[in-house]
Amino acid sequence: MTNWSEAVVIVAKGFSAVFVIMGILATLTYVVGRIVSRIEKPK
Amino acid sequence: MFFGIQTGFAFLTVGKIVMILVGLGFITLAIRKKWEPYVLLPIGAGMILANLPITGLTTEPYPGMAAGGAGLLGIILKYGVFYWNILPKFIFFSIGALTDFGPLIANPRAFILGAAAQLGIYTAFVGALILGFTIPEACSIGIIGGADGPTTIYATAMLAPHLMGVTATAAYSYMAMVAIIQPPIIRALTTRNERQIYMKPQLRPVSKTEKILFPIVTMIVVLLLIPKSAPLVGMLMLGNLFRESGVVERLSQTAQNQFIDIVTILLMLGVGASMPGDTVVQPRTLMILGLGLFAFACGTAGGVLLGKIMSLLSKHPFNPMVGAAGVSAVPMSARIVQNLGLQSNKKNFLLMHAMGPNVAGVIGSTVAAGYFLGIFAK
Repeated sequence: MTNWSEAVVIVAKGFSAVFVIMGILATLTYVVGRIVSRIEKPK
Repeated sequence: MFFGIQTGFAFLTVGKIVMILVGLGFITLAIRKKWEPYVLLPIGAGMILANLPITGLTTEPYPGMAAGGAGLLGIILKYGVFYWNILPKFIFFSIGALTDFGPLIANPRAFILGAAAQLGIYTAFVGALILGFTIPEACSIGIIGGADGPTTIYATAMLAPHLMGVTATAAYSYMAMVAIIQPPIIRALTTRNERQIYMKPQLRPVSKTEKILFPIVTMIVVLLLIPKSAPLVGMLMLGNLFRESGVVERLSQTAQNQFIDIVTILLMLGVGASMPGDTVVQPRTLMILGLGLFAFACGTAGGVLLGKIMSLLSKHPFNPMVGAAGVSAVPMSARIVQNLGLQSNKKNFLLMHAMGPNVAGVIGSTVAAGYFLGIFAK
């Protein structure tokens, strides 16, 4: 028998985790890009 | 008997014959239609070799076995795929060396499209449970929706090894069929006006420093949050660091060429050999293939639907078709988006915009697989 409450938790937490991690990576990539471009900007 | 030697004819079963025919079909598709020949040809050959009876090719080694007792395919399967499970990780290393994350670094919101396209993993997971599969089996089947062959192999070996051949073949087969699967779904979910939205073809230039920092930052963040994704994300980013560092050019070139070729031969032969007809030819196999297709379709839909939301919210014109590239069939999905964009608007050149979500999808599917492994893998 499938434990549906466990399955629902896996789907909800798993999909949310993917979005959160990808969101963190997007933010960090943006921030690192800004910092690097500011440092490397020709004076 | 044939001149006093035992022949294989007496041991041919219906299942074995069916799998030999499927293998011949794969080889035909690879040669005649040029569908993923580097994948389908060795898988087809592996299927045929593994299903020809009493050859001993798939006999796995065990402690105390007489010298020469193990079969070549058995050794590949045991150590490359199931027990050590090293081949998918090596493939990811080479994929990292082959991948330019520049379009993703230039447009980080593509990460979110790569996340949305993992919807297919979770819809197929639920579908598999409804059809009576266990939760670990459902996880393996769901990963097909990430459209990522090595991730599917790695996760299945850890969660449901008995499904290996079918899930891996489904993942690679559907990757080969993106040109057939994705366009109808994209067209059904977008209006003509949306498909015509023009996006400037050029993304901002990305510096070498950003490209070097990207794999380091991504590796540290993902591995701290989802440690079980380390073998895949870690190797992917290591390969990419080799590529972008510019100081180990020989190693990077080897990873991009000879190394991935050798590993692909071993892995695909192993995948083909992991489908013995006597256990694979059954209704559950058809269910898995159907669920895999469903997963792939839902993944595409998830990306397009989030693309539509982004199109509504974005200050700059945003073509929602770009979201469909969030499945990690690199670069096939991005090319599909490019072709559909060009068909709708002759001035549109969406390839670079689609490559961002496409490579983000690779990271997204490994994160999703890592999450499943974090829960269930021993």
